[in-house]
Amino acid sequence: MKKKLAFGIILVCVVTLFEAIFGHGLNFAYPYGKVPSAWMLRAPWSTSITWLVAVVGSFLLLLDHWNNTHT
Amino acid sequence: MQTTYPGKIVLISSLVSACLVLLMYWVTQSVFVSPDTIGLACGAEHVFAHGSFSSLRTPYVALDYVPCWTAQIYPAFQLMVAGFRFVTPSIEWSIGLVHVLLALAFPLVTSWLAWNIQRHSALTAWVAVLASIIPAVHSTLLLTPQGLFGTLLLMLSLSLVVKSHQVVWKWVLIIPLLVILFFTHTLTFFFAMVFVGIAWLIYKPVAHAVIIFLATLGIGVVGSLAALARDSSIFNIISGLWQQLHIIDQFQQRSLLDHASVFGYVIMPLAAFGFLSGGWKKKQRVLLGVLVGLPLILSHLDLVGLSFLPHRMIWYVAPALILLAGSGMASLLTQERQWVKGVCGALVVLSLSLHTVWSDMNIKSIYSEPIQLHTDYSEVIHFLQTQPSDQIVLTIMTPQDRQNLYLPQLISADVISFPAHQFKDPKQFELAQPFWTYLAEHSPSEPFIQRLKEISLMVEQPKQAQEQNVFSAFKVSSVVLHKGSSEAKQYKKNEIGQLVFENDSYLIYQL
Repeated sequence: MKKKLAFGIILVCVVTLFEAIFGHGLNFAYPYGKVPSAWMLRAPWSTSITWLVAVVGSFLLLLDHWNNTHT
Repeated sequence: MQTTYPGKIVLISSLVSACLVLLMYWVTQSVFVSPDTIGLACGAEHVFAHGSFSSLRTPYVALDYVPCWTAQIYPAFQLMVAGFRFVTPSIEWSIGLVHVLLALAFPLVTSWLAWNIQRHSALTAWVAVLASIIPAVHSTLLLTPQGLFGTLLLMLSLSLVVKSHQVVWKWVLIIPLLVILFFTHTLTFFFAMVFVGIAWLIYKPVAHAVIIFLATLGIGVVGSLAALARDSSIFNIISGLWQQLHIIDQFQQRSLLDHASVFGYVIMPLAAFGFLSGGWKKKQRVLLGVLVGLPLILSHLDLVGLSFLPHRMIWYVAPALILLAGSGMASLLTQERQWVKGVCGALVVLSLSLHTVWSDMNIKSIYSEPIQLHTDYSEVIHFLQTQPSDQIVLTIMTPQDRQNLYLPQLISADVISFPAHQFKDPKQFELAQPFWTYLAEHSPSEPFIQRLKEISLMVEQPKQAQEQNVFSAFKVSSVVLHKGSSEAKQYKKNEIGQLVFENDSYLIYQL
């Protein structure tokens, strides 16, 4: 379980680094700097992957907890 | 579970945090990294030099930022900076010292709070590491250091509540902390009152109920009296609240979706994992849930038609979010394989640090660069310093050029600083100052709005203003314009006044 979560965290970090190096930190500017385009603002892939990892990881943790307490 | 306090890691984290601030100074070549620092420097220097708070302000229009903090603006923070002035050669050094000390203190205090909630070495160590490098902390430190100082007081109060909840004397420390906080940052004071109250309820030392009730009541009474003393007119208090309740979030930073870009992407999943698998006791989980949940709810009040400073509310999620993310990290890294621990830990630190550096660079381009005193503007100041002090100088402020903020400190004449960009674009005007729009709609005869219109006339249509004698009514004798701007073209075309100064960037007309 923890390996899966660690993989998710590594994925988010890699996406962040990718954005920092190749995306010139565009989303990092928000909200204190230049505002990206509407598409980037509402559906930046780094944000989407972050929330995907958070939601899937939390679901797996809850599932694991459920299995442990009901077996 | 290891229960030794990770002092070395906490210390190193604090030093890293301070180094990031020094990096910003090195990049901007100035300690004035945000418009607030100029106002703070002016206010604190006045306190140091005269022993009283400043009353310097731009007459008629004080827009965008306050160029010299007065007694109403974060007085406790001003006093602290003025205090450091006794041991530093200049106000720049005092500001720099306060920034660095705040950067050093944040990881220390956050990890101390974590240690008091759960005596867990890895958790405390990761909390210190994350607190030193997350972007939101550095943005707050650079843009509104008073907010970070207030958060430190909040966390200290909270630490005392959870540390020794059976001890009465701790309130001897907590109450002064809250009183200082009230005079430091009102919004943080509000959160501190709620958080401390809820923490106390959760840790329920029932025997002390009467003492706590009286103490809370006392703070409320002192706070209310202080509020009345600061804003003697009840109308000012009500209109201030009305204004704040309707400030539209100019960053539109309301959506949960966007929070990851503020706190650092990896913080969000780590906090979620930490909340679910951090080994928290029930009361700890409830406390952390409240610390995260309340600011989140308040930042989404627009769903019910209100908007109470949503972009300011989000910051108050930070302390609990860092604790939870630290817990998530500690929990993840309990697995056996060393390489997974190493890769995961290194990537988290690297990605967050890079995110913070990028965020700081954006602060530099948006906030720091427009306020740096460039040679051309210094020449303008030198010229204005030679002019009589009983005149009024009209200047124009743009988002790219906010050096006007220095004028009240450096010249003796009064200044009207006009943010032309907010008036050219009605949508932006509405976004920035909805209360003015409200006043304009409901009381068109309101003198303030009338004055704004007249000032706008002097900038946008100087010929009309001259015909209506607006310049003489305002006693404006000098107008500073950007060379090549549409306003400058109007002055030249209509032959308004006499051009008395010119360099590569600015023109000064004398009337």
